[in-house]
Amino acid sequence: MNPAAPRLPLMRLLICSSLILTLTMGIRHGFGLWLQPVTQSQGWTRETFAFAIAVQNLSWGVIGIFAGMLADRWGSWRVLIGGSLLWTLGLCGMALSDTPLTFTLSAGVVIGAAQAASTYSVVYGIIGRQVELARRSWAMGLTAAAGSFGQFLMVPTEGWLIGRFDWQQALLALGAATLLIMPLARFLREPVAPASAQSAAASAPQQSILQALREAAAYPSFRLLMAAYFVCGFQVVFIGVHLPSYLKDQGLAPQVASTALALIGLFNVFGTYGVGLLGQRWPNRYLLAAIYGARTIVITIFLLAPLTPWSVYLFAAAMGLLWLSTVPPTNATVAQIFGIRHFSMLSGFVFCSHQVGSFTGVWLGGWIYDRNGNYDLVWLIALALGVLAAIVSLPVREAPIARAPQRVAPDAA
Amino acid sequence: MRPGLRLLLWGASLLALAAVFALYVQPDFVRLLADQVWSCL
Repeated sequence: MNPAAPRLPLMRLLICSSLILTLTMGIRHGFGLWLQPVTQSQGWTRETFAFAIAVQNLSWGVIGIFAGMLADRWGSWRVLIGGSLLWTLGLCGMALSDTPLTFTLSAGVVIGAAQAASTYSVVYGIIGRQVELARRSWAMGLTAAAGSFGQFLMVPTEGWLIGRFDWQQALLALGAATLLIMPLARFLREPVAPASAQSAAASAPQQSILQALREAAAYPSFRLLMAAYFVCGFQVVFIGVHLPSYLKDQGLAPQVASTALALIGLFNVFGTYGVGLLGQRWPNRYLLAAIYGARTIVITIFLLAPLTPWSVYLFAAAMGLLWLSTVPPTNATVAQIFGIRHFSMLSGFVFCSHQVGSFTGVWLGGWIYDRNGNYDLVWLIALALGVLAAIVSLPVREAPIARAPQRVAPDAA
Repeated sequence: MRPGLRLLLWGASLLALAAVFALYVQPDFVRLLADQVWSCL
C-alpha cells in the first residue's frame, strides 16, 4: 500500500463492497429455484440445466484469474462495472434462451464471468489496498458476511419473484437489479496517489504478472493454500447439493432439508464475520486448520449419531458456522505473503482451485451414488480431505515473502 | 465507532437476520423450497 495515496473512507468502502457481494453472491445461490420452471417450460432435461450450472462454476474459477489480472492492472471498480453488465446480459440471456446451447452460454459462461468480475477476488483487491493490515481481516470478514447474508436473503426473495411473476420476468427483474452494481462500483473508485508518489512508485522496480505467477507457483505455502481451498470447495458443494438427497434416502421429510439449508445460510453469516474478527488476533493458518478440523469432527458426529430432524438442524448450524469462514483467512494470507500488487489475480488462482474442488465434489457425489446406491464413500472422502486440509494449513508461512533486492517489496502495510 | 452506533448496527443486523429467517418458515415458502429441493433428486 502506498502510504502517500489518499484512501477511500472506510464506511463507504465497507457499505458499497457489502452491497455488491450481497447481490452477487445471493443471486447465484438461488439458481436452483429455476430448475423446475425452466426445464418444464422449455421441455429440457435436468441434465441440461445442471450442465449449464457446472459450466458456470468452472467459468467463475477460470475467468476469475483473468478478472483478477484486469482488476490489478486497471482498477477493481472498472472490472466491477464490466461484471455488472455481464450479470445483466447473462440473466436476460438466461430468460430469453430457447436452446440448450444459448442457455449454457448465458447461464453458464456469461454468468460465470459475471461472478468472476464481481465477487471476492475483485472486491478484496480494493480492501487489500485501502484497509491497513491491522483491520484487513476484519474488513474481509465483514464483507464476506454480507455475501453470506446475500445467500441467505436471496433464496426466499427469488422464490417470491418466481411465485409473483413468471420465471422469465423474475430473471429480467434480477437482471435490472444487477445494474445497481455500477453506481456502487463508481463509489469504490480508488483515489489516485499524488504526482510525487506516482513518480516514486514508477521508478521502483515492478514485478510483472508472469514473475508474480512464477513466484507464487514455486512458493510451498501458496500450493498448500490452494490444496486446502480445493477441499473447502469439495465439502461445501457436495453437502449443499447432495445433503437433501441423503436426507431423503434416510427417510426424513423434505421440510427438514429445506430448514437445514436455511440454518446453514443463517449461521454462515455469523461464521464468516466471526472468523474475520478472529483473524485480527490469531494466525490465519491456525484458524484454517481449526475450521477444517472442526468440519471433520462435525461430519463424523453427524454420521455416527442417530439421524433425527434435530441432529440435522444441529449439523446444519455447525456446518453453517464453518461454511464460507475459510474465505477471509485464505485471502488475508495471500495478501500478507505476496502483498497487494497482484493480489486479485493470485486470489483468483486460489479460488480456481476451490471451484475445481466444487466441481469434483458435486460430480463425484453423483457418480459414486449412481454406482454404490449410497453416499458412504463420498462422506469418507470428504472426511479424509478435511483431515488433510487441516494438516496442510498448519505449515503455511504467513510472513511476507523474502524477495531479491531488485524485486519490488511486498506491500503488507 | 461510538458504542451507541455499534449497538444500533448490531441490533439492525440481528433484526434483518430474524426477518429473513421468518421468510423461510412461512408455510408457503417451506412448501415451495421443499418441492424444489425434492424435485431436483
